[in-house]
Amino acid sequence: MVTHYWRILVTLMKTSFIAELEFRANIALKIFNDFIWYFVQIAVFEVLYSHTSQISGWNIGKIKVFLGCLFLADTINMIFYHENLEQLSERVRKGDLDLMLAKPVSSQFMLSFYRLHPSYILNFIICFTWLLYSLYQELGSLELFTIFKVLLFVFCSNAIMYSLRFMVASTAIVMGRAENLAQLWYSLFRMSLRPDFVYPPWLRYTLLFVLPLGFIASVPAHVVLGVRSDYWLLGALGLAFVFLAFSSLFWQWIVKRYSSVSS
Amino acid sequence: MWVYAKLAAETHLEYRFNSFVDWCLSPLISTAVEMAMWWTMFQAMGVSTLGGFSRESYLSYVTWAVFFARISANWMYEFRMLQEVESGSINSILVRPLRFYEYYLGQFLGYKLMTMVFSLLLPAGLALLMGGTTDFWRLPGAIFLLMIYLVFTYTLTFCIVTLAFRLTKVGSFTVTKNFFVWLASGELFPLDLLSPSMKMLSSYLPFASACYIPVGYLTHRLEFADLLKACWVTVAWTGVLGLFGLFFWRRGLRIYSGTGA
Repeated sequence: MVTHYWRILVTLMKTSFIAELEFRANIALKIFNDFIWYFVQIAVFEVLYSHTSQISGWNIGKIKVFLGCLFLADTINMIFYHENLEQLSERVRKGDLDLMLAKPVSSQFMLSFYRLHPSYILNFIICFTWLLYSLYQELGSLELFTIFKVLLFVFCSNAIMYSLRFMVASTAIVMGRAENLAQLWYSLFRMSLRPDFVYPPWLRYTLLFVLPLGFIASVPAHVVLGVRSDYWLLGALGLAFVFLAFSSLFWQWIVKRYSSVSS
Repeated sequence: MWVYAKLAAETHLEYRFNSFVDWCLSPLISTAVEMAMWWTMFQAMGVSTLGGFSRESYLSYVTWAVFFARISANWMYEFRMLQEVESGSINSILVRPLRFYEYYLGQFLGYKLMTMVFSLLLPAGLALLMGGTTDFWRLPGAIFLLMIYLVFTYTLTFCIVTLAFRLTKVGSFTVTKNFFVWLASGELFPLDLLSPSMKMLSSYLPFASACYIPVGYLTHRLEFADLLKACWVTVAWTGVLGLFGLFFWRRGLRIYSGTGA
């Protein structure tokens, strides 16, 4: 079954790339946009650190590692599922979901990966290099195990981010028009754009154990910098699989409430 | 235009939960997060002032900033207008005895007025509860500037939409613009924290009128002269963009081939 879905994913990647090449200026601008987003995030911390040298023991070097983890997780989101989940509400409202449900593959898989954006692979390479460079600057050396941890965290953070976002987006099935639920997701996602030490303890624990947005970048940065133990990696792996399973169960539950609008 | 505004208001009331998320839930979460963040940041930095302002001043600022930024944002109508050109459904507007600019401006302002009425009750309540540096007598001035900014941001949207006649897919311009506005409006942090040269530059751009100037005026960071200057700057930029928009609209219509018609 895994091989079957892998083949579908590769085919979707090829067709998406051909479709992307149709509007080449748009590709360039999309990549450029992501760099602006990176610039904005860096600028926020540069401005704050221009008024102080340390915040809770974190200097600008450690913040760059945190941002590297955040950008890396975001590039995977952009390549695979960002646009698909953003359009989920529209697919439900216009009845396009019927077509997905009729296909002989998992509807959750098709909805999540229908349109991919391979052009963001360039961003992934640049962000990965930037993260490794920041880590080298901060730690003084770079071990192979650290790179392995980074890659494993990229998988875990994306599994958690994808599951949460998918569940928020799929509520469009019962809500009808739910464009603003995407905004709700961004409000929640905003919490992961800052390292968890900037939040008071109650919010920090919420971000770790209730709504684990802290696992998108904050926990990975703490672990690869050696601030927290490697056991957090096992926790992240566990959470990733739990959330993936939960998103699948949630989808099966909510799709039963779908009433087709196109027929 | 009043009819279009009513149309937008009624359409948005049709999906009440969707509107509730936009007007209340989403900005409330962002505000709570920002307030918690600034509270802890002051403790972690061990300072009593930052950029010349106290913690109370920052908390008052973030109470209002997210709501002002949310009201001034225009992503939903921009995507809808771009879709009209991309898909060719703009044809149905072009053949009617109405203007595209007015048609969407009416809807946009109608929607934003409703958002303003419902959204601003929340920070007003929070400011009353928490005290801080909010001066409610300054609220009309802040709202007046926000209204001018709404016309500006809509005109900017119109200019981007006219590019779609030539380039078809220009959704990425919207994202670029929104990132820039995010940074330059003062939503992420008050612009006092910028270097003097950057702050000077931002005072000649209209984006600070979305959040920093009205919220700064409301929370005693800025004075009436700053508000007045921002009004003039925003009006001037609106005029310039309006001329650009008109020029590109005419040129765009000449080359438009009615895709999907």
